[in-house]
Amino acid sequence: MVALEAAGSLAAVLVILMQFGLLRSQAIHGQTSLYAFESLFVGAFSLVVGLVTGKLDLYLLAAVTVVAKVLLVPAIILYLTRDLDEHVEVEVPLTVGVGSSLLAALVFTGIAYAATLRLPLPGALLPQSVFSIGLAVVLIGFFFMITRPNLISQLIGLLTVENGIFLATIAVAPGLPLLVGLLILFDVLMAALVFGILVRLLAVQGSTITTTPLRRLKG
Amino acid sequence: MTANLAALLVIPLLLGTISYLFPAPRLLQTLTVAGGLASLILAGSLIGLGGTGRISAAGGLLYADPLSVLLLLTVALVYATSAIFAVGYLKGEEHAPGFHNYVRNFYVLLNFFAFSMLLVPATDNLGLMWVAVELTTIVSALMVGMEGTGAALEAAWKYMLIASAGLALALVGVVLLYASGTGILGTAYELNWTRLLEISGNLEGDTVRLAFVFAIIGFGTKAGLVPMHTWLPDAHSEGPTPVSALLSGALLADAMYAIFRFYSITIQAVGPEFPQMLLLIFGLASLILAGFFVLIQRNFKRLLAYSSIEHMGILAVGVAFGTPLALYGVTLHILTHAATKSMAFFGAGSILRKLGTRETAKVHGLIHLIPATAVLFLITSLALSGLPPFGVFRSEFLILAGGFSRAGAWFVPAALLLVLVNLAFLGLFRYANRMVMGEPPEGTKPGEVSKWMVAAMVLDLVFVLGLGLWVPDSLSILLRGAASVIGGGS
Repeated sequence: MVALEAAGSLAAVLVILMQFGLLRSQAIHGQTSLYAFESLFVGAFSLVVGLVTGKLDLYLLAAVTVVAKVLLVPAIILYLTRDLDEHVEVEVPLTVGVGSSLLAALVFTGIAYAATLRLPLPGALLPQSVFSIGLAVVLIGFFFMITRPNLISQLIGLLTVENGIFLATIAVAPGLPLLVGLLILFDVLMAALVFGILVRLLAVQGSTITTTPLRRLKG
Repeated sequence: MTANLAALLVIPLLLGTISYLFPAPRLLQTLTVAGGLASLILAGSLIGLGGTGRISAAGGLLYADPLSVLLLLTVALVYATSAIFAVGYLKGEEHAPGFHNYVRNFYVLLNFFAFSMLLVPATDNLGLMWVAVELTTIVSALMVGMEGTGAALEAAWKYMLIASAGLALALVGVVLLYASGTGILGTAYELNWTRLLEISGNLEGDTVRLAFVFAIIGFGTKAGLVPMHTWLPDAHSEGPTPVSALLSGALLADAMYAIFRFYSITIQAVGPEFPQMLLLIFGLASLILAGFFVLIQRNFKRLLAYSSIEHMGILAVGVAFGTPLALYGVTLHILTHAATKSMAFFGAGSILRKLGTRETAKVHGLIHLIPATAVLFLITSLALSGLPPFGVFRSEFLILAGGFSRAGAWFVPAALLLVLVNLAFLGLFRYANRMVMGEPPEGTKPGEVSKWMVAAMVLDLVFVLGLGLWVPDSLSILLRGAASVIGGGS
């Protein structure tokens, strides 16, 4: 039991490490593989909680996570960006530099801990810090989306937000009957939207994936 | 009653499937109009539930109380009128390339959109409700991007990113609310409103507070509350007009509904101060920002979108007032706003079709061009700005009266509400007047775009004007019941 708890905490810590790593990666491929690793650790976390609670659907969730987010989504992203210019590949522009981004991420992590660490959560099985870590991942993911003006990076940011939500919800409410269904549906949402909109957006914009052309609608 | 509720959900689901399997334009238009009207009648029949009735089936997966019925009625009304309007909207496009495909996608999505929005209020299960809100996002984001232009896809992308982020936060809210009850109900229980309300006094207070914060930010993103509103004007102005009407009249109401459900549990668990203060802050922020943006808009569909933000602000402030009178006004306002705003969008859509522009400055002399639409558009603009004798006036008046009746410092937000509502009135009225009067642009021929478009507006007018003159007793009883549900009565 103690070993399992430790494994769960370790997985959660690895997730947030990947999230920090994302902030200093400036290449689409690098960001994609960091996301794949992050998802792998989320899957591992789900597996651990499954072992602790003995709930079969959490194993299922772990399996879905690995297939969908470690393999499929990264593969799709790489496929979508296969024709992009070499220089886009190398460098995603930053509106906030790496150093400041990391500092901001530290602040977000602090906020997440301060807001949640003393919250009474009777249903949680693992150390409560996992919930805080999940929230921190969410906040950093938002920050990432805001400061990386690039379609693919924004998408990856959103996907990591989803990872954070996975972590937080599984940590708090592993017993919630609908939980696994809810989380898997969230994946479906992402997939539907990506195929429905992103692909067409890329087609309309030609080969560019920066969001600079997306400036028509404001005010 | 249970059968009516089930039928209400099955109709759009069935129509969506038929639209996919048999994509003949004429067939789909007829069926969807019939389905929309049938939904409206079915929802109307549920008014018979009265002020205290409940429907619950399949362990709470299917559920309705007066507040649900109000929302069902609202969504069904906009669904029916949008279906009618869509017939006119698609007219004249028959020979465009890809029309066949477009019609199929349009009706599949339209019907599934209606289904998902009807599902939101029709369940007792908090998890299922979240799923329904998520479904609305999938379907509506695809519809916003349907036109396939750069601007439409940009709006859809923005909507998708922001709304999904909001949904993610809302899910945390749902899970936290669940966690707040695990101390009493054990770690595995069905997450039903009714169950949580019964034990609301024993929920973990701090966890409920945090859950409410997540819920108001998460669902508030879908409801267009400031500062999470930035996707809204884009999505509402770039989507096809029937979709704009559904987004504005029905979807925003659904999102507010989700917040109200959280609110009703939160006030029972931690008292009224905390949730009311949060609603007041978000509501006033929405009113202030939207009021000024209405004044400076040059695009009339965006103008209406900002007006929707303003009206969601009014709802939030109304609930923050918390008096029975204000809550009653809020419930009526959900319905009157839906009718009036969808009517306004239909007018805007007709104008867009006629003149091919969204620029307010390029539109004038409508009264000579499309007289029926012009008069209806002017009426709906007046109604939307809160003038008597229209429904919005009645509901806004009730909310204000409810606010002023609260003693002490509540005078300030009530007065602020009064001022801001008038600010928006100025903006709306100025533009509407300019668009309707004067000489028509050169080279345009008089003639309505489509009778169907006018018919949709007339059907809305029945509610826009009717609810201002007279609220039937049965509806009034239902609204009172809905108000007491928002206020935390079981």
